[in-house]
Amino acid sequence: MTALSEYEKLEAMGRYFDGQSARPQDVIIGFGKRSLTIFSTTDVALAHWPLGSLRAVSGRGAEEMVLVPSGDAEERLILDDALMKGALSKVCPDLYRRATSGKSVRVAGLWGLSAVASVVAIVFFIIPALAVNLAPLIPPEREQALGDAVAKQITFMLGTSDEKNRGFCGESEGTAALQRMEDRVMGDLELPYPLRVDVLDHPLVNAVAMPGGRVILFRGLIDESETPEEVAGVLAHEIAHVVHRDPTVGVLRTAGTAGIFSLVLGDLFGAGVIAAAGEAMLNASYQREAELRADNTAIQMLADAGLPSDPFAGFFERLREKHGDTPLVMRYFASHPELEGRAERARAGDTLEGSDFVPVLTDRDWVALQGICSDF
Amino acid sequence: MSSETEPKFSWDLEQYSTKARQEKRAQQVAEKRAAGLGNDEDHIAEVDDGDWLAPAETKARARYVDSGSVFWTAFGGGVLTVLTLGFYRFWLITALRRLYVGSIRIDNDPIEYTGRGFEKLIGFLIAICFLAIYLALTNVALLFFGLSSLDGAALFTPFSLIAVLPFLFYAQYRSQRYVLSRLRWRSIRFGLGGGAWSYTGRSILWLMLTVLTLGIMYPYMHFKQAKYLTDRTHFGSMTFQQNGSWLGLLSLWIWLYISFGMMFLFGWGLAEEMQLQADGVQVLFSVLLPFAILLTMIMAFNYQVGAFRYLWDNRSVGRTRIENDVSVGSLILTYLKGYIAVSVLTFVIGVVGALVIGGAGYLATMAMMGDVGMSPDELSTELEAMMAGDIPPTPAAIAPLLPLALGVVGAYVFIFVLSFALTQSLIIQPILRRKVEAMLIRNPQALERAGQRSQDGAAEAGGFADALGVDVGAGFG
Repeated sequence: MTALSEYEKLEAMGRYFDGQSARPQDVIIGFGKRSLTIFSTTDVALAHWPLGSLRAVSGRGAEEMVLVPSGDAEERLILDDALMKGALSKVCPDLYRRATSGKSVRVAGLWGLSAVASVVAIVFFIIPALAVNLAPLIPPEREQALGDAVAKQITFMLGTSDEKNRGFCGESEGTAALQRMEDRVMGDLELPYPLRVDVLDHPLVNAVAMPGGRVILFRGLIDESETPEEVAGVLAHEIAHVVHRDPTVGVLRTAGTAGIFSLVLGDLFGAGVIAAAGEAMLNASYQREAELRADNTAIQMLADAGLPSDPFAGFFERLREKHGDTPLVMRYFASHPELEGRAERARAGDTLEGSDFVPVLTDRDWVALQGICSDF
Repeated sequence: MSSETEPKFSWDLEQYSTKARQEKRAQQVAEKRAAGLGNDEDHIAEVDDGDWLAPAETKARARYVDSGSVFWTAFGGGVLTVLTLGFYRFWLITALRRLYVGSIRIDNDPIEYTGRGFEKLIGFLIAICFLAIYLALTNVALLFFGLSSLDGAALFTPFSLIAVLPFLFYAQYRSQRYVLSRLRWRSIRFGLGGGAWSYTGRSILWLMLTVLTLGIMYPYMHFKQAKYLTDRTHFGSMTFQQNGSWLGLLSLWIWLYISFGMMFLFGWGLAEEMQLQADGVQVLFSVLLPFAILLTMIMAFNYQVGAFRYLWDNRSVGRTRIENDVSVGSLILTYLKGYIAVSVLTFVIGVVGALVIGGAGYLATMAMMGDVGMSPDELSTELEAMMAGDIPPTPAAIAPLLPLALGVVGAYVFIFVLSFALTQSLIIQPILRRKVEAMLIRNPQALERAGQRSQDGAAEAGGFADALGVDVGAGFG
C-alpha cells in the first residue's frame, strides 16, 4: 500500500473509549502494518484495528471523526486531527460504508410478504366475510333505529329536515298506490323487519336503501319515470339491498377498512390524499359488487312478480343519454356499475319478451303515485 | 489549552472538559516522571485527583456543533421518499437523526445515533402485519357491539379512535425505547427498560383523570409519564432520575388553561351575541377574541417549552445533575424567524422551481405533439373522447401528455419537499440547538463510572409509532 507508506510516520492524539466504561483515555494513534495502532500516553499498546474493517460512524461533514474497528464493535475512537482524518479517508476507501447484512434483507422480505398478506387478507377476505356474517346477528330493532338515524341524517343534509314531516310525502291515495306496488314487487318475500318505503320531496333522481328495511324514493325519480314499471324496477333494486342487508354490511365493512391506507402510506408529503383516494376506491369497489348483486336479485323479483324488466333497462338508458357515461378514470371511484351494462343485463333478464302482463299499477294508481308529494 | 483551575464557572468551556483534564494529567505524569518520582501512574493519579477535585464540582454546558447539512440531507431524502412512494422515509428519518444527534456534544464528546433505516423498515412491516388485523377486527367488533346495544348513535361514535388509543401510548413507549437503545456516548449505550404495557395502562388511567377534571390534571399526567420514562432510562449501568413534582408543571399549565378558558368564553359569547342585535358587547367580544386566541397560542408554546425546561432541569444520572435554562422568549423568536424564513423561501424558490419544472414538462409536451403531428385542439378532443370511453385509449395520443403530467407532479413534489427540508434546517434544527445549548451538566466526571449495557433488540424499531403517526420526530420534537 503506497498510500499507507506515505503516512507511516504520522501520529495524532485522540480520545479512546474501550466500550466497557465511559472513562476517556487520551491516546496516540498511528499506522501499523495494515492497521491503526492505538497507544496510551504512557506508550502501552491498547489496540490494533485492521484498516479493512475500520469504519467512521460520524458524518462526513463532522468536525470530529468517530471511528469503530468494525460495524458492530463497542469501542470508539474520536479524533479531530485534520491530517489524520485525511489520511484515513485515503487509506480506507470503505470508511463510510454501511453494509446491510443479507440476513436483514431476508428478514425484511419475510415481514414484507407477511404485511402484504395480512393487508390483502383483511381487505379482501376477512372484513367482507365478517361484515356479511355479523350483520344478520344485529337485533332487527337496533338495525331499524340505525336506519332512522341515517334517514334523519339524509334529510338534514338535503335540507328538507325543516319542512313539514321532514319533507316526506304522504298524500293518501299516492301512499296507497305505493303500498300496492310494494306488495306486487315483494310477492311472498320474507324480510326480518317490515319494509318501510317513503317518498322524499326532493328533485334528485335517486333512491336509497338504509339499514333496518327503510327505503327512500326521491320525488325526482318518480317524475323521471315514464311508466310505473320503471319505478317498480328501482324499488325492486332497493328491496334487494334490504334482502342482502347491504346497508348494514356496508357500515360494518367501511368501519373495518377505515384508516388502513393511511396506516400503510404514512403521512409524509401529502400521502394523506393518496390514502383517502385509495379508501374511496376500495369502498366504491365493494359497493359496485353489491349493486350488481342487487340488480340481479331485482330482475329475478320482477320476473317472479310477472313484470317485465325491459322498462328498468329503458330507465337506465334514458339516464345515460341525459348524463352520459362516467369518465374512464372516474369509474374506479363510482359507487355504481356502468349504466350501459346494467341496462343490458336488465334487458337480457326480461322473461316476458314483450308479451302482455298485468301492469304494476292501474292508470289511476300511477297518477296518484305521481301526485304523492302534492299537498295533503 | 490548559488553564487555571477556578471554582467559578466561566465561559472558557475547555477547562471543564475531560479532555483538558486528561491532557493536564498526562502532562503531570510526564513532569513527575522527569522529576524521578518513578513510573507509578496510580500513585500519581491519586495525588492529582485530589488536586483536581479540589473545586468540589465541575460543570459543562452541552454544545451543538453542526455535523453536516440538514437541508441537503432532508431535501435529497425527501425526493427519494417521493420516488420510492414513501419507503425511503425510514432512511430519511434515520439520516436526520444521525445528523442531529451527532451534533450534540456533552462534555466535548458527541452522542452517536446507531439506528439503521433498514431496521426501521422491518419494524414498520412488523407493525403493519399486526395493526392491520388488530385495527380491522377491533373496529368491526366495537361497531357490531355498538350497533347491537346502542341506538343509531353507534354510527357516530369514533370507534377507531377508541381502538387506537391504547396503542398510541404503547407505540410512544416503544419508539422511545428504540431511539434510546440506538444512542451511545463515549462508547456506552443508553437504554430504556421494559414496561410498555404498564405505561399504557397507567397512561389510560391518567388520561381518564385528565378528562374527568376537564384538563386541570393534565400536568399530572404529563409529569407522571415523563417520570415513568425517565426513571427507566439508563446510561450504561447508570439510571436516570426524574426529580421535581407535577406542581412545577401546573404553574405553567394554569396560564394556558385560563387563556383557553377566556378564548372559549369570548368565542361562545360572540356566537350567542350574533343571534341578537349588534351592540357594544358584540364589538367588545369580537375585539377580545383574537387577543385571547393569540394569548392561548403563546401560552401553549410557553407550556411546551416550560415543561421541557422544568423536566430537564430536574433530571439526574447517578451523581451527575442536569440543568436547563432555555428561555421561552428566545425560542419564540427562533421559531418566528424560522417560520418567516421558511415561508418566504418556500414561496420564492418554490415558485421559481415549480415554474422551471412545470415549464420543462410543458415544452416537452408541445415538442412531442409537434412530432405526432397533432394540434393541441385535436389532441384534447381525442382525449375527451377517450375519457368518455367512446374510443379506446391509444399510447400515441397519451404519450405527449406524460411530460406535462410529470412536470405538474414534479412541481408539486418540489414545493412539498422544499418546505420539508427548509422546516428541518430553519426551524427544527435551530430550536434543537437552543434547547441543547441550554443544558448544563453538573459534575460530568461522575459519568465516567458508567459501565456498558447490552444491546436491546427493540426489533420493531418504532414501527408502531410510525404506522400510527406518533413517532418521535427526527428532531425529537
